[in-house]
Amino acid sequence: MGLIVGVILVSAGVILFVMMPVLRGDWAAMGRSEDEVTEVDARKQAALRGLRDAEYDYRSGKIDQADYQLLKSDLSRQALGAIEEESAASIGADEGTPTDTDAKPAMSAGSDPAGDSLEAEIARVHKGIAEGRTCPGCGHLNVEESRFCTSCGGPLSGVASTVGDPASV
Amino acid sequence: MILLGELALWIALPVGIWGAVAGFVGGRKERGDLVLSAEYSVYAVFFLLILTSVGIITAFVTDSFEYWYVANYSNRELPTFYKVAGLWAGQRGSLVFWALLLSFFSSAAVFTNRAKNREFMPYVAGILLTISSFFLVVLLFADVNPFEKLPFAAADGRGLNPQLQNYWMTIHPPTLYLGFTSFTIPFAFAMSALLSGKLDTRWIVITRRWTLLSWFFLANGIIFGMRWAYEMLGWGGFWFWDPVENASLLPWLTATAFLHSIQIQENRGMLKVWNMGLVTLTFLLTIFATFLTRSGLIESVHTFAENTTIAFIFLTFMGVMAGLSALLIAWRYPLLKSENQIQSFLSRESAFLFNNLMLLGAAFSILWGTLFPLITEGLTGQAIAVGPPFFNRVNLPIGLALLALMGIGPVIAWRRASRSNLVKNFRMPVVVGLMVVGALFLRGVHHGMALLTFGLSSFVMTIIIVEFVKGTKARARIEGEGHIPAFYHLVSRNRRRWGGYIVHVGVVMIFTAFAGVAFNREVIQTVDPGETITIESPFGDKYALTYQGLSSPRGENMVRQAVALMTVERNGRPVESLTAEKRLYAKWEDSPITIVDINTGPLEDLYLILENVNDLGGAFENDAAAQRATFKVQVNVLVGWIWYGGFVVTLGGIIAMWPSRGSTTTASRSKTKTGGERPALAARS
Repeated sequence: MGLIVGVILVSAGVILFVMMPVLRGDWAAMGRSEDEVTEVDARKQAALRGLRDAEYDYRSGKIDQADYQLLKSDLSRQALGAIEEESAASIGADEGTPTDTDAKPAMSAGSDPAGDSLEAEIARVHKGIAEGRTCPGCGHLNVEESRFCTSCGGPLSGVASTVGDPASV
Repeated sequence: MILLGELALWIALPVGIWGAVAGFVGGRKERGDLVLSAEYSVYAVFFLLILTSVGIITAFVTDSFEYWYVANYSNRELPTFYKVAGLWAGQRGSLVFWALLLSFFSSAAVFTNRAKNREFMPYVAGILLTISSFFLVVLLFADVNPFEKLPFAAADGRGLNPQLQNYWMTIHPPTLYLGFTSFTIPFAFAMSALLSGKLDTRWIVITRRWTLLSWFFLANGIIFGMRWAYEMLGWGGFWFWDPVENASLLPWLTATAFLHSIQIQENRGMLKVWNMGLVTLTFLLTIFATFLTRSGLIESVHTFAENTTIAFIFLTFMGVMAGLSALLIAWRYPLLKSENQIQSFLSRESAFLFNNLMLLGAAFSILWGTLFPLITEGLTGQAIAVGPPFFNRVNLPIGLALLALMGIGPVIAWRRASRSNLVKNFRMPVVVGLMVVGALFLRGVHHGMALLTFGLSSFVMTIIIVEFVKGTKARARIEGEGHIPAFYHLVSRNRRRWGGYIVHVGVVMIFTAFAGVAFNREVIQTVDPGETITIESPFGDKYALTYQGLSSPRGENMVRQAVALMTVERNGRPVESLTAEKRLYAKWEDSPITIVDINTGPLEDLYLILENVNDLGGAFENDAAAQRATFKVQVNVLVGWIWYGGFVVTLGGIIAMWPSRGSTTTASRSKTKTGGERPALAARS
């Protein structure tokens, strides 16, 4: 008798539990939530991680200066592109559907799997781009501390390199 | 309780099938109610499988020998500890245990993603429940129901295989099973990404920690298995290339390849198809490992199998899953195009790619060797097994190449590395490696492969140490920190990278231990009480083992025991005595079990095996005249480094998996963008 009651209770309980959303019309969320990693976020984080690694690799003598500048310029462009894309999406969202305001202009420390130091990297990238130098030869915008144009290789006159020799680090 | 457990198994199947259908249809039609019902089904299947497992354990503990499974894997005298572990002692219970762990991880994945990554979840729930349902179908309809009753209740059971009656039984199989089952989560997300067309790197980012967790359990499970073999199986080694050992190694190899290649996708947008292929292959190999252990398809020392028909059901399932995955990848191929190309042969991408090829090469050679008896039987009617020499010959060069790549990879920069930098970075490690080889050669070590291993290990260790030192110095300079905080922040801010390096240190230690096997020594000698066996280790230690005689106590669940005592002197000074045994367990009177004893040291182990007792029957009866015995004494060189290396691998794995500050706080609490005609359920999000 006890067994029959147990069986009925378990069966009924499980069926009720599983079917409850359909019976009651409860709906699961199916879209992107506000502060999860977006595709642009993932790209930006990858670029910033690359920048950080490149800096360490350069400082520890793993890559030489020319490669570092090339890499830094390339990764900075990628990171900035992702940040601009994200900002544009955020503005568009602000002007558009109010429910989309969750796309953030910049990654929060909370969603940063590599630690909050990436936050500082963003600022560094912004600064680098903002203070970038235009090549007198080809007009290419170079990042801060560049001694040579990463596009044509021409010298950027009057710039004293502040990047130390890796051997001296 | 037992009947309730049986009933729960029957209820779980329709719930699983319903949930799988609801997940797929809900995802396709954007029906949030069906998706929610699918997710609730995941929890419900977990709950029902808990009831089933409790039912089986109850049947064991209450000696319910009317059940075939209990009657075949237990007996009245079996300690309760092993009765509880009876859940995974045989094929039938193991399948329930697999399904239980899968449903646990499925529930964890659904619960932790209840408010994020929602676009993936309908298909994730659908795929997880499809796999669970497959196991439930096998359990209920493939003649492996753990609740099958005998026509009459047996008076006592046939007992548990004595090899399983030790504490490793509760550690090694569950750890491996945790590794096998948890890899289903990355696979489910990958398939969900293919189905939903969301093929950016998010599915990798979301499942990164799951992949690491699964890899971590697999690595530990394999090392525990080696330890079990070394401590308990009584033949003096730790790895025999047994089919079941191989089956556990295969998904670990491909998961290791996957862990490296996803970094290329994350950093360079490359290898997207490759990664999809690897995640599918690894998942299929976890299923392969499960079915190989429990199907009886290939004879193995792990003789737990009893029903070969399920082998073909499993093979069909694997074939269907492989086919569907391949179709999905082909369907989404345009979205999986590489964003970049390898720019230079001298780049980290290139090193990772070689690493992948080596790992896959090892996996395929081991798979081929494992299946060879089956293939030859199919072709010629006679099964031909390939033994350890085949596996060693093929895998030794691959292992050494991987060891070298462990050193090369971290030093080479992404994209392209200049030759001058390579020379600068490799000069010191190469010199250290050569110096170690030279020093060992001068000390009398002339084994070529061992010298190469020691040389490469020193090369890799130097590189890793230099990486840590340079990284700390660079951080201290960039951030203006002291060296200790700089070291701490270096590791804590990029745990994957530095945790990974620590794992590499552990792997190097394990490789070094493997090379130590070349220097093992052994003596086999028959002695009477009072006689001494001597053996000298390669390090010059002289051991003298004096046989004191046999005694015959009777341990729990045993019929007889014959325990030989040896007093031991090292270089003339007494050290801890050793006892080696023969045991006869209840219900297994025809199979005496050998129990070894080990004096463990940092560089070498003294390992004692009681090979033979001249008059075992007399010895079991405490006959004073039946004392003559044959012993095998081994000096096993560097074997302890496997276990020390295992600890380091575990430490590195934990560091790499440890959540970053704030990374677990991403769950949204309110809004969702879109998804259905109705608003998100506030209570759930």
